[in-house]
Amino acid sequence: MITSTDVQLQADYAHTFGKHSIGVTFVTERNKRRDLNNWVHAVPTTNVLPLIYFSTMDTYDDGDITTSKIGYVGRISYNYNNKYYLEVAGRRDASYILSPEHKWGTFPFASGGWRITQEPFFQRLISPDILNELKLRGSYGLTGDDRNLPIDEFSYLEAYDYNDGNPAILDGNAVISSKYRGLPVTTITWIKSHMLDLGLDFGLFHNKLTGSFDYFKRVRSDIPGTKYDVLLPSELGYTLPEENLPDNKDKVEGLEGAINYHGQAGKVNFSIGANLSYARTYTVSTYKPRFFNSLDQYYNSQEGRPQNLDWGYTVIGQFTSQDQINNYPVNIDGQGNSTLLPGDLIYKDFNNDGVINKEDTRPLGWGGGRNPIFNGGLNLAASWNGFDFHMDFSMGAGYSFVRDYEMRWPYQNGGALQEVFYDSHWHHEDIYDVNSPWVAGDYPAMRFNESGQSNYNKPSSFWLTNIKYIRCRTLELGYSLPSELLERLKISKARFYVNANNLFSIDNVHQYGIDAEIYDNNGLTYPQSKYLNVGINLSF
Amino acid sequence: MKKIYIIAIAAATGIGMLAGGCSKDFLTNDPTSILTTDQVFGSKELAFSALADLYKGYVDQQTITNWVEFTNFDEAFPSEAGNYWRAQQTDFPYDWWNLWNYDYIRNINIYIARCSGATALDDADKQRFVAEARFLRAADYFEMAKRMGGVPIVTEAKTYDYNGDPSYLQQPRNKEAEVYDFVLAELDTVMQYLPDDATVQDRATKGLCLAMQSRAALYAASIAKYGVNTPGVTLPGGEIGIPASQADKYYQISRNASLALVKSGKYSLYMKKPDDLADNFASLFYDKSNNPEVIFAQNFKLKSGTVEGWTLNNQPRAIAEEAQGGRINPTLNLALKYETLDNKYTPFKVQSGAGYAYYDKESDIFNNRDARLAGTFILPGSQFKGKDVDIWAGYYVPASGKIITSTTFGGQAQLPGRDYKEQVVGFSGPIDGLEFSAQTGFYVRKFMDPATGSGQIGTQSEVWWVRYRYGEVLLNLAEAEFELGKKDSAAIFINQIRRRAGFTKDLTPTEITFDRIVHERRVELAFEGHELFDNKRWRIADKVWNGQKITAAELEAGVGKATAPNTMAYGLWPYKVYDPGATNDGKWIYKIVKPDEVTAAHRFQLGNYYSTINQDIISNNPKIVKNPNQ
Repeated sequence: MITSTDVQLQADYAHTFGKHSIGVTFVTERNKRRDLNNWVHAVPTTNVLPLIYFSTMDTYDDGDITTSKIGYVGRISYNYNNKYYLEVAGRRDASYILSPEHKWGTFPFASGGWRITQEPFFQRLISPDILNELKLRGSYGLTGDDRNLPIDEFSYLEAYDYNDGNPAILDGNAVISSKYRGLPVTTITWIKSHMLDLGLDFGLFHNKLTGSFDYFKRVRSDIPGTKYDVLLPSELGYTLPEENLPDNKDKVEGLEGAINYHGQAGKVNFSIGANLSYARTYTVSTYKPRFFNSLDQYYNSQEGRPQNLDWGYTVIGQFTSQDQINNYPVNIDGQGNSTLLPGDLIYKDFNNDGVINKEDTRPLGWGGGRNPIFNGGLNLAASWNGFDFHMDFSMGAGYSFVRDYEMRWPYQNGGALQEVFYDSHWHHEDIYDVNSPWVAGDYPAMRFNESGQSNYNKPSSFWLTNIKYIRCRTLELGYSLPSELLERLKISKARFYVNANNLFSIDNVHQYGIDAEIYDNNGLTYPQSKYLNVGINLSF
Repeated sequence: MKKIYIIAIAAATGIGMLAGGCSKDFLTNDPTSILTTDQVFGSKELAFSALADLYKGYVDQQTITNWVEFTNFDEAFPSEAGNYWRAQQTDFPYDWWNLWNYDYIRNINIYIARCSGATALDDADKQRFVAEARFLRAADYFEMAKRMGGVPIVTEAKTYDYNGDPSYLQQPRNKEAEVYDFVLAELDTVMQYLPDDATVQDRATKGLCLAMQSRAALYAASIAKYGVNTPGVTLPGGEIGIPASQADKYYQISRNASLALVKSGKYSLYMKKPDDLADNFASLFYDKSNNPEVIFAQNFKLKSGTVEGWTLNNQPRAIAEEAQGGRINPTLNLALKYETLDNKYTPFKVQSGAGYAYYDKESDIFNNRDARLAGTFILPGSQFKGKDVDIWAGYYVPASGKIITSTTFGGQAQLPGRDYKEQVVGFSGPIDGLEFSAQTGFYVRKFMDPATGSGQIGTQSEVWWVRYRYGEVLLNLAEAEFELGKKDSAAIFINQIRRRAGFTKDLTPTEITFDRIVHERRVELAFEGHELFDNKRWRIADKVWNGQKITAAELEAGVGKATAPNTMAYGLWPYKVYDPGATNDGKWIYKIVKPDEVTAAHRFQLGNYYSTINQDIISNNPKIVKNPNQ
C-alpha cells in the first residue's frame, strides 16, 4: 500500500505594461511517500482453496519505507511584445536519501526565445501566409539527480540491517539475524545534470503544417565512483566508499523532430504526424583512466565512447570445402582448424597473427540490451461521414541483437532446434555417408549441443542483427450512427468500432521467431501480445 | 505590485511550513528495518541476532546447499546437463577454492569489540557470545589456511584515516604454521567460556572446539609430514609449508584434543538401529533428535525460510515429488571402496566365466558388504521413502545378445515374441546423457530426507549439514595414533567405526597402514566435504587426480591404495534378463560403464595445492607474497 502526500503551493504574479510582460512564480513542493508492503508465502496442504492460512505460512515479509522530498522554485519570466522571451529560474531541492550535511542542492536554469515571424523584416522576407510561425528557443539548466546513488537513506549511520536474509537456526529456533551495514558513508551528494536544449517551433500555411526540431544534450558529472588509486589492503575487510567524482561524466546527445499536417479533401478530414528522435549515451570521461598499454586502452577505455558497446569477431565468409579448411593459413578454432567442417565460419584475422583470439575483436553493431538509438512514430487519422479511422506506428533502429544459447547452437542443452538451422544448413548429401558430397546451406553443419565449437563460442557478426522495425501499434476503425437516427432511438451516441493492437510488425528478425523488441539473447522473452477488440459505445 | 509579490511569498512559505513542519524533520524518516549499534548491543536478543548473522557466514566448500561441488572429483557424477562440463574438464583452475573473506573477519572483529564493551549485557551472555564469535573467526582462519596457506591474521577492525596513503595498514602473510597455531590457541581460550553440552549441536560448544582442534592440528601435522612429497609446494617465508620437524607436535595436539573429547564421554557413535546398519548409518545424518554423534551442524527448520534442497535436487527421478532430482550420481569408483564383510576389497562380480554373472534379485550384487555402502548410496533394487527407486538400464536378451531399452524415463518397447509394448527402462534410468537419470546407476542417500515434502520446491528439508561428528574424531584419533607409531591404539578406534558398519572381524594393528587410514576416511566420510582437503594435506591429490585416463580394471586394481589414480567416473548398470522359458529369465546382470559425458581425466596440479591469490588482493597490499602457482 502506498500513501503519498503532495503539497504544492504556488504564488503567481503577472503584469503587463505596454509591450512588456513580466511574470513571477514561486512554488514550494513537499512530497512524502510511504510504501507499506507485505509479502506472504505459504505451503498449502490443498490446492483446492485459494486462501492463505497462518499454519501453512512459512514467510511473512513486512516493509515500511518512507521517502520525502522538498523543493523550492523561483521563476521570473519576461517577454517583450510576444517576440522576445527570457526566463531565469532557480531551484533548491532536498532529498531524504542524502546524508544531513548533503541534503540540499541549488540548481539554476535560464531560457530565451525569439519569435522571428513577429519581426517585420522577416515578414517582408517570407510572407506570413506561408510561414506563419517560427520560434527559435534555447535553454540551459542544471538539475540534481538523486536516483541510482550508491547509498540508502541511512548509509550515514553506523548500524545493522535487522532481518537480513533468512534466519539462522540456532538452538533449533529460527533467529532473525542482524547484519552489520559497514562503514558509514557521509560524502555522497547530488549528481549534477547539465541540460542544454536548442530548438525551433514552426507553423506553415496558417498552422496546417506544424512542427518542431530540437537538439539536446545532457551531461552528468559527479557520478559516484571509487578512487581506484587509493588502494586499501583487502585484509581491512572493506573497500573505500564511493564518492562523487567530478571527472566521472556521461552524456546523452541527440536530435528530435516532429511534424504534423492537418488537411481536408472533400468531406474527408485527415491528419498525418511523424516524429523521429536520435539519442545516444556516451561516457565522457572517467576518474584518472589508466591503461597498461595501447592495446589495453583500445579494448578497455571508455573515454568518449558510446556506452553499451558489444565487442565481437567479424565473419568474412564460410568454408566451402575441406580442402579450403586444410589450406587455410589462419588458425580459426585454436586447434589448428581440426574441428572445422565445410560451412563453418571464417573469422577475420585483423592483426594478421595467424590465429583468431581476443585481439581480433572489434565493436560490433549498435550495442544490445538497450533502447533503440533511433525512435520514431507515425500517426494517421481520417474521418468521413460518421466513419473514423486512425493508425499509429512505432519505429526503432540503432540497436543490436546477438543470438546466443538456444538461438545460436543446435540442440542447446539437449533441447530443441531452431527452424532456420533445420531449413538450411551444410550437410552431406547422404547424411549416413561421410564420403558423400557436401550440400551448402546458410548455417554451419549441425553438431549436437556443442557450445564450445568455434562457430558458437564467440559473439560474431554472423550472429548479430542490427534490428530495424516498424510496428503497427494501434489501428482503429469506427462508425458513429448519424444523430438524426439516434434522436428517434433516444440514444445520444452510438459508435461501433474495431481496433487492433500490435497487429503486425515489419522487421528483420521475424525469421528467427522472435519479436523485434526483446533483448534476451536466448530469445526466451515472451513476445508482445496481439489484441483485437470489437466494440460498441452507447450513451443514453 | 511589489506589495502583492511579497505577500505571495510570505503566504507560500508560511503554508509550506504548516504543511510539513520543520524541513529537517520532514526529510529524516525513522528507520523501520535498521538498528543502531547502541540498540544492537543494548539487549541480549539483539546482540544474539547480530551473532546469528555471523553464524550464517560460516564457510563450507562441499555442502548440501551446493550439491554441484561434490561432482568435481571422483565421488559423484553431475547428472544435470548444465554441469556435464565438470566431467569434461581436465585441469582444476588454480583459482578454485580460493577464499580471502576479510569482510567477514572484519564483521566478527567489530562484533567482538562491541560486544566485549557492551555495558547493557550480562557478563555470562557477553562471554558466551564473544567466545562464539572468536570460535567463528578461528573456523574462518582454518578455512582460509586450508585453501590459501598462511594469511595475515587480523584480529582488530582498522579504519583508513584518509591521510592519502593507506600503506601503513598493509600487513604481510603469516606463516601457515602460525595460522594453525592461532586457530588452536583461540580454541583453547574460548572453550572455557562455551557450554560443555552435547545437546547444543548448532552452536559452538567445548566439544566442538576439541573436534576442530582435532581436525586442524591433524591438517598441520600431515602438511608438515607429507610436504616432503611435494617440494615445490612451499614458500621460503613459510607462508606455505610447515617444517617436517613439527609434525609430531601437531599429531600430539590432535591426539590430545580427540582423546579429551572421547574421554569426556559426552558423545558416542549413533547406533539407534542396530538391526539395520545401513539404515542406521543413513539416520545418523537426518535424525536430529538426541543424536549422540553430531557435534556441530548447520541447522535448518521447515517453514522458517531456512530450508535446504538436497533431497529436492537428488531425489530418485522415479519417485520424485517434482519433475527433477537425481543430480548427484555417486560413482562406481566410490562404491568399489566398500569392502565385503571379510575385510577384503572385492570388485562387483559382473562376469562369470565367459558370460555374465546372473543375480536372482537386482540388489543381490551388493550383498554382504560394508553397511555404509547402502547407507551412503541409493542402490538399484532398493527403496526410498518406501517406494522402489526403479533403476535399471534395460532388458538383456541372451538369445540375441541384444539390449532392449529406451531413451525416456520408463520408456516402452516391444520385447521379442510379444505383441505389446512394455516398460523397458527404469523411471530413474540409467539413460546415458539424460539429466536427472542415474547415469552411474546410483543415487545418493547420505543427508537425504525421508520425510514427505522434502522433494517439493515449496517445502524442502530441515535435515542439517553435519560439519563435525564423533565418527570423524575417532578417525582423526586413529590417524594421529598411527602417525605417532601407536598402531595398537589406532586399531582400537578404527575398529569402533568399522564395527558400526557391520564388520565382525577387527583389523589387527599390523593391518593398520596409511592406505587403511585414507581408505577408512573415504568410505566413512564420503559426501561430507573431506575428500579434497584430505587429499591436499596428505599431498596425494596430484597422484590421485593425475590426468591419466583410467580403465575400470585399473580402478578395481587400485582400490585400497591411497595414491591410486581415480580420475574418471564409472558406473554400474543393472539389466533385467529376458529369456522366456530359460532359468535365467527374470534374473539380473550388471555391466560396468563409463557415462558418455565423462570425457576428461581430472588433473590436480601442484599449483592446485594452494589457490591463487587474486591480483587485486596483491595490488592492494604488495606485502602479500604470491602462491607458487602465480
